[in-house]
Amino acid sequence: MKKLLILAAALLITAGTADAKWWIFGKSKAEVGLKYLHINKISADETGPKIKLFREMLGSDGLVKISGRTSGGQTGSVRLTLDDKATWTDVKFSENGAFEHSFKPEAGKTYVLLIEVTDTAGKTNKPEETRKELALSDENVQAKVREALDALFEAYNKEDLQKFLAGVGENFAGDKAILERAVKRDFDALSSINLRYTLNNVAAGAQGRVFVSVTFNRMVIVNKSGASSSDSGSTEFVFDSKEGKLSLFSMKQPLMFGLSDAENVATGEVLGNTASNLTLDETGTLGGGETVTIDCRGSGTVMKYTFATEAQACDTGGGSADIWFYDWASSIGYAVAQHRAFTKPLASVTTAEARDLSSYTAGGTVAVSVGNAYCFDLSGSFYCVEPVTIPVPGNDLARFKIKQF
Amino acid sequence: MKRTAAILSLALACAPYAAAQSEFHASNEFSVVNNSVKGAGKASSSLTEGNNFLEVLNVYGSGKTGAWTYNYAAGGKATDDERADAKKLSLTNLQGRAANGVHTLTLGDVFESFSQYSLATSLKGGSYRFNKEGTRLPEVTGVFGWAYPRWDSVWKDPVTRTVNRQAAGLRVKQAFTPDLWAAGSYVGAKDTSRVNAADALYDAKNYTFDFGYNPMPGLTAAGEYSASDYDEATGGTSEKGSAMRVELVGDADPSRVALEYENVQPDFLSALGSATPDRRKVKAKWRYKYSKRVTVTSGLLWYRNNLDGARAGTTYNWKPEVSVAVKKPFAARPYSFADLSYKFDRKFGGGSSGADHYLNGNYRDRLGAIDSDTNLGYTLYRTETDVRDASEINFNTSFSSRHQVKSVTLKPSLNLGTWYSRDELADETDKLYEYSLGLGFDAPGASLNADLRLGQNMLRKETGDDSDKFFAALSAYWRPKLLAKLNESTVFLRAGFNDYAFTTTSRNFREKSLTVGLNTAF
Repeated sequence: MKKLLILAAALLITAGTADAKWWIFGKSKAEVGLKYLHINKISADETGPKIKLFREMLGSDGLVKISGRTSGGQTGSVRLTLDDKATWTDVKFSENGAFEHSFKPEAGKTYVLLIEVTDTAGKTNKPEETRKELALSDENVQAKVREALDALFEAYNKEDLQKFLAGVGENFAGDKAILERAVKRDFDALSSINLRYTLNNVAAGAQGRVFVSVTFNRMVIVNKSGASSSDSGSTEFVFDSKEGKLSLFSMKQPLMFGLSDAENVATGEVLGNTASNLTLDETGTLGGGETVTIDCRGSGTVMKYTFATEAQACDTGGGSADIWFYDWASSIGYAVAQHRAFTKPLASVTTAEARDLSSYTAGGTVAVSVGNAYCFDLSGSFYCVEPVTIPVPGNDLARFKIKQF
Repeated sequence: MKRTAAILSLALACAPYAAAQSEFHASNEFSVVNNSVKGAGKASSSLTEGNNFLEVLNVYGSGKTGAWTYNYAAGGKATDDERADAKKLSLTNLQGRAANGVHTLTLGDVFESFSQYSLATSLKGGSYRFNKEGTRLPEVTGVFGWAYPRWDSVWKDPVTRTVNRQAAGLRVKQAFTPDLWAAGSYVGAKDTSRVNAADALYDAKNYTFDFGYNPMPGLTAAGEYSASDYDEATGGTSEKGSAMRVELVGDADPSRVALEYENVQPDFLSALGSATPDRRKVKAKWRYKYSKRVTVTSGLLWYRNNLDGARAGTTYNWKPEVSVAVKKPFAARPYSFADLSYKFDRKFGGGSSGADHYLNGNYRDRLGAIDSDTNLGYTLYRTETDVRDASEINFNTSFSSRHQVKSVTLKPSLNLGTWYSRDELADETDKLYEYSLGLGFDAPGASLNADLRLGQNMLRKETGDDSDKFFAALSAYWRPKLLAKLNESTVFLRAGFNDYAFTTTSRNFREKSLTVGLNTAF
């Protein structure tokens, strides 16, 4: 950890004094140009050639602010055009080459921005390299949110991975590579996907991020079982603004996309969520949680499991764990506070049901059967299991699905 | 709280009359939908039967009074379809903002995203920002409010009531040079008012430092460190944790290189930010434009959990990938494009062990007047714990074209697809076949465009229910000239038909849906 930090710091210090751009293998030459360019505080490196602005993302003065800093020799002049070189405006700059210019855009009009920097020796940059098309959209940010969500939902419904990923930002909080593989697994596991939504709340921030809360409605067919599943609820997204387009930055549980790796894709859960968090397990089955196998063949008759540490043990009697399976009875013994038994699979248990303390009872053991869910209260933490294989004498192997609520 | 909301609403409602108004916009969408679901398995449908409506209204305005400029936005939704919203009438957004070049005050929906770990969600409340440009004074932002996901929760509506999460934060950002800035922030969140007896109630604090640095053109560095300290009342736990991430991006032709390191301790809590606890991650990605036609992208993602050693086992993940995109792989075919990618997933430890391979090829081209897009993928799932050993092949191809008939453009399309899955553990083979036909219609003279699509998905299982879904969907949009004064007014119609048929016929059902609506804006 410390080594990494030292390495990163050394890299940054070295980078600041480097003569060549190490990451382009020496193809760069020191020349007049821009060290950086920001349009409304968003780095031009992060935008594409076209930038669509929304009223909600401008300051209350309605101005677009262009700021930057020149690089190369001593700066002689900085000027910019907003009409594709038809007219040029001189821009004031400081000794270190920093400059700033503001203008009030009109809706529906496109501004073609180019910046020309000339040093005191008369050398100029290549203005074409700074070219950006700016437009203030007539639409409100809600329309843009709907456009972004429509594209994501349509691509997911059609199981088009490339189009789906086009709507996801490179800096997706749960990591884009993890989401990509999770969505690919979703597509292998599901068919006839039908997702719909309506907006509950939209809030745009000055930094270009947009918070979105939606009510969703979903129906899917699970390829593994052939069963259909429908659910509805409320969830949240955060979008980044890039190239006038919103790209997905983060998602919360209940998840809409990436159900196959929900733990790594979602960053948090919607406050007050009562819906079932639909997930796909490693086998491509819906909502089952992780599969745990405790193999005590030849080493014990009681299979023990502790939820928080995921510790397994083989023994000949109960205790010293959260739950345990006996090979002589179809039941689970437990040391935690209390349990609740369901006559339905884990996939159908909602968060509200799992956390409803009024339906829990204390007993120390619960009779179990394959395909039904059993939840355990660990003083505020809730774990539910669904037995897949119940051990019997001669086959001391317990396999069950587990999910935390 | 109710009083605060009422004052806020009143203030925003009065804003247009407070001074000479310079700008006002509104948009409205009203639609009526009729859904009909028939068949023994109709309970599986996700549609609400009968007639329902959906009304969405948004207004936006801005103006200037003295040295202050202001803007405001508000929106509402009404529906009688519980699947569209649990509430019949709800406020979707409400915000007022005033600024004088130095001070900015925002009330209502406030989204001050401090940083990923500290504050990355919206609040219902207020914020104040001090930013005097051209000076060396720091930018200071203060925020206070409630982290409710929707406005109905603010007035404790029984249907949408949530835990009351009160939040307050302060951020001070200083630009040391034009290339380097750093910021420190504090965010506190306190939960009260359980909805369910088991709801967790946090009293959490996050102290965060973040920075951005542009040492040279095209190279950016950014990072963040956050320490959390929380008490949770339901379980009676108190924990401290930290999270940090550093990112370095070099971007200039022909390369873009991104390096990332993240370490989030298991006990780190970000009540108002975004973080995946118990994860140490290293990521490298390199996109290299080898030539004008060939781009190579490679990446490696590694992460693990169990950072505090509290779990019985540690799960490690390796995810390398490489892809090559080639424009004009055949010199004689100017529109041809090919992309080949290989991704590998290795996961082991903590009771799991798997190695999955993803191979995918894509080819696009224009054959005469027809555009084609073909995708072939092969996935191999392998586990040592007998959880999933399967191989899957998916193939999709689409053909589309445009035909101009006088002033009308017709866009026919055809999609064909198949998916084959061999589950070695269950010794089963499942197959999916799908096709769809589409016809787009664009008549700019008549301000009309439409799209018709119909097709079928057929899932064939070795064991279990087979299923067939036949679908047809029509959408049409017309901008009548009568409404030209209302800039973007559109009349729309959407019709859909889905017929689900299963081997177990008691699961069969059919859905018909017809939506008619009017969208106006000025």
